[in-house]
Amino acid sequence: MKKSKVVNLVLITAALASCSKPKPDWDSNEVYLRSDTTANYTHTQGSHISPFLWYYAFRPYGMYYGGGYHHSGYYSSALTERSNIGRSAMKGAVIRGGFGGSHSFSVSS
Amino acid sequence: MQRHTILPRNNWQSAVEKLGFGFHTADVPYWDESAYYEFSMAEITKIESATAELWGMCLEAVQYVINNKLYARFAIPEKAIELIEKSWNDDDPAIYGRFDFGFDGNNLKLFEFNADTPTSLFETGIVQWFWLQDFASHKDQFNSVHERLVDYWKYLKPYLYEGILHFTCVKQSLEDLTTVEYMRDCAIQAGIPSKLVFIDDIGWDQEKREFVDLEDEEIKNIFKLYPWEWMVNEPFFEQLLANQKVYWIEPAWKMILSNKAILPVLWKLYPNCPYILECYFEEENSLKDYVKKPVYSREGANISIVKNGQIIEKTEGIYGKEGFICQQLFNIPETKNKIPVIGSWVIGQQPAGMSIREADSLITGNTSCFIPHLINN
Repeated sequence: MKKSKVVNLVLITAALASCSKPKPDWDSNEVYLRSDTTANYTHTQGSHISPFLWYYAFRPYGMYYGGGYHHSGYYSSALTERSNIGRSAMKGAVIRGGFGGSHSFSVSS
Repeated sequence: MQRHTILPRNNWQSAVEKLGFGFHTADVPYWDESAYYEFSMAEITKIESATAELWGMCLEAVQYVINNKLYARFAIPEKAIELIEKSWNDDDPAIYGRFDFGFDGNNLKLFEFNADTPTSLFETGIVQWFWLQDFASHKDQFNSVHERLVDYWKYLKPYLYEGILHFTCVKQSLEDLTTVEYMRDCAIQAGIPSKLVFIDDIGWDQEKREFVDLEDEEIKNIFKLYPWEWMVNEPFFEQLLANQKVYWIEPAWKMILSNKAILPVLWKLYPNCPYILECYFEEENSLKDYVKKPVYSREGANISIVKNGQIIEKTEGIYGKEGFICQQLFNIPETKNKIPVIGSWVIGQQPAGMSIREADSLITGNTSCFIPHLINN
């Protein structure tokens, strides 16, 4: 036989099946957020972000120490600078966005 | 190779969505099971043999390009050369690639090799396989993609750096996310711990001088569905050069193989190979009937088809500034105004399966449909 005898999926069905569901009929995507627990809340909108990727608009940061991960807040390009930049020192060591900037569409080939 | 028109399954949309296939339809169905292609075992054996033979030739061609320092012809920047050669000499892990062929029933001809970021892997290995289970489970299919992916990740596991294997792609494409999550699924089944991080979320820890994910966990091994030719021109490429103790999969030497400049090199090295079309760099071209392709292009962009010196079909796009190659025109017989292109997969150095994309025109673009196949024994 030239075909796989058995095919099992452990991850992808659960992870991606929700992507084909209709978009939730929300009245508004308006929310109030702060990306850093030491910063102020501001009003923002996420209407261009799909529900599936919504959580990725809020990029967590923190640090491993004392045998565990300690969450401090979130980076987010969806937030204003005022709410994105707090006093937490942990954000300083890591820079992001150095890959992926020149093309944002499918790499399909 | 015969095309048959059939009725799709009544519930085909929900059947494929249950598998996690969420991009089956754009403006028109991308997954099209209103037809299938039937192959004889002799035809499949021919495709399989050609794939194995071409893979060996491609590796020889990479060595030739490195030995002769042909990087300028490939529009590969100087800053990438050391990385390419290191990944080649160190035999860094590589997983897959897809040869695209034209087939007229007798002659099988290579159009190009998608060696760095081939897609339609999930459609081939999963959706097509389950379609056959419903349509004719007793029939065979050239498709051991899934088994080979799991097996090859198992094989690679001891060669990876200890720890997590990350997976990355762009955020905005469900197609790319599906391909990457499918690949991750196979790695998980091989017992490899994994995490997803989108390409623009990758971080660089300036103190530790290492790449990190969103939880600032170090990235040591990473499967990327993101082309090297884009990476070399982005800011983090400098950081990538600064820390070369990361396995980027596919490895940097795939920059040579995924480039269409490899096609004239293959012709130069193997002019008697029955699978390789006559091909030249544009400035050396003497062909009258040919396809002009940018050395970098995707989804059929910026391609011209020339017959008797006249352009008969052309696509627009953003590519071409790096130069063009000219490949002899090969006519694929149309069936019901459809032109099929065969994608033959190499996984872990072995032929692994087949996909078919069908277009309404001579150029296979991003609106071409995926049509399943079976083997008639």
